[in-house]
Amino acid sequence: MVEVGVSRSTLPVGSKAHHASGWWGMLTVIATEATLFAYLLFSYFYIASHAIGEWPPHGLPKLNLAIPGTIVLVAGSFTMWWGERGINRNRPIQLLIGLGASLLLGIAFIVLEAREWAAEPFHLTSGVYSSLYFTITGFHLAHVLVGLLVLSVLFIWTTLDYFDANRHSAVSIGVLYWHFITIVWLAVFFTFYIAPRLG
Amino acid sequence: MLKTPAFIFAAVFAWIATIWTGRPVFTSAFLFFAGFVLLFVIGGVSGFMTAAVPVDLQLTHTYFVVAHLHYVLIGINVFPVIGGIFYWFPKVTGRLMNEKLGKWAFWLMFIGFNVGFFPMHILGLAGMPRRIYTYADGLGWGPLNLIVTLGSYLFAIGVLLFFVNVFVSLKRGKVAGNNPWDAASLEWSTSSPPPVYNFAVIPTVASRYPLWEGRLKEGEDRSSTQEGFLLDKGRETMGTTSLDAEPDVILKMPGDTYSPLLLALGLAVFFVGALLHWWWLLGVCLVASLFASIAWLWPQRSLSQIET
Repeated sequence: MVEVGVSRSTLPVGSKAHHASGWWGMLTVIATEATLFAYLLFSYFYIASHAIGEWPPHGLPKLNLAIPGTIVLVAGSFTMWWGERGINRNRPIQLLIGLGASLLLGIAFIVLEAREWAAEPFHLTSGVYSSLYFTITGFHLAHVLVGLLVLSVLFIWTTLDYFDANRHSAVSIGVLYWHFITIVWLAVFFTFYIAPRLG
Repeated sequence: MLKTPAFIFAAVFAWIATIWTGRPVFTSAFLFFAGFVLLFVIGGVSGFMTAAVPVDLQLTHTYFVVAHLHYVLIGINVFPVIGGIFYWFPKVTGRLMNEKLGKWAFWLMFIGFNVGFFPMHILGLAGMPRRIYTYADGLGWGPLNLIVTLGSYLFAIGVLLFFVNVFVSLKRGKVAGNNPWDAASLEWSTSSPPPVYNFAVIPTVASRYPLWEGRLKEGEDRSSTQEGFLLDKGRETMGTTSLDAEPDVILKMPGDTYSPLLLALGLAVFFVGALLHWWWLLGVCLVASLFASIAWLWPQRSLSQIET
């Protein structure tokens, strides 16, 4: 027992990298939110498998806005990865640029998504496909909005010079959430835009 | 009705295996827990029956359901809670409960409960509906209902005896000492009742049976409640690895702050606004909650969230 207490006498103190409580908290948030999206996507496939007649009912969804949206979101994850790498090497300016670029790319995604919503020939209440479409992309959009809020707060904190190579677990936690949003979008994108083209 | 088959089997077999591989001591506390396992099985099996649609068509809204839910509620809530009171009473009060009275209370409660509630299954199968206060003569439910009444009186006498035991033992119970059960878990290493701070240092636990390590000889490691990390630089506690519970990080505890309270108020009023359809209130509370959250998470030097 004493051996444990003495030999590991240089334990990190406070929020340090992946030891931080917030890191574990974010992992549990991701676990629960991933479960939510798993349920939602399951209901899409379940209803699709029981559909009578043509599926999707309004023809294959257009890719003209969805593919740019996907590229923009994946690019936002890369810029964020690059920014986090910057603060790992004690370059707050690189983090700031990464955060700013990801913020702009996230806003671009929302604009593209909004234009796609506006262009759809159906409404939320048109039928089961439309309600699945708006619910699932809407839930994802809500997560993008929360992600943008997180990135904005991190942006402010970075300008206030709160982070360096040694202490930036808030950044790592926010970035983890941002990557999660991208991965969820890839699953949503596959479900709505690719899966109907495979059958 | 209330649970899944897997859970019943896993739980019941885990309890049986615990008793089987251990060396049971037949105290009142053990009797209440063992009784609970039996009642849990009965209540669980009648739960399967009400969960099967063809059977439930016959059973729903009959006394069978009354029997099932009392086996569930009393059998698996009241019995183990009373067992738990017998077990931890000495730790809480410093005095043991009376064993002889305890065993009387158990057998009165156990027999009374089964005499009182088991015939309700048969009454339900005989068609007696639930939620009635009387019924016509000559339906054939009379004799069983007489047995039910007798059983419930027996059960009530058992419960009364338990309360008598609590009050008598509070004043005249045998002095318990630290560990009257020779139990293995940490709470039995402190005095009874324990000091307000429980342990002066965070205990180091080396095995699943910290107080039996000397006898079990399962490994070299020894638990300790006497020595530990100092953690005396402000409000600190230990973070450990999730699987092996090795010391991993020293966590700084936040001090007094209004932001969690503001967040809770913001969210509470947010939902009130949603109920009343006052959308402007929703907007105000959403913004207030966001600001409270951001204030709560603001990096602080005292919590080692920024710089070294």
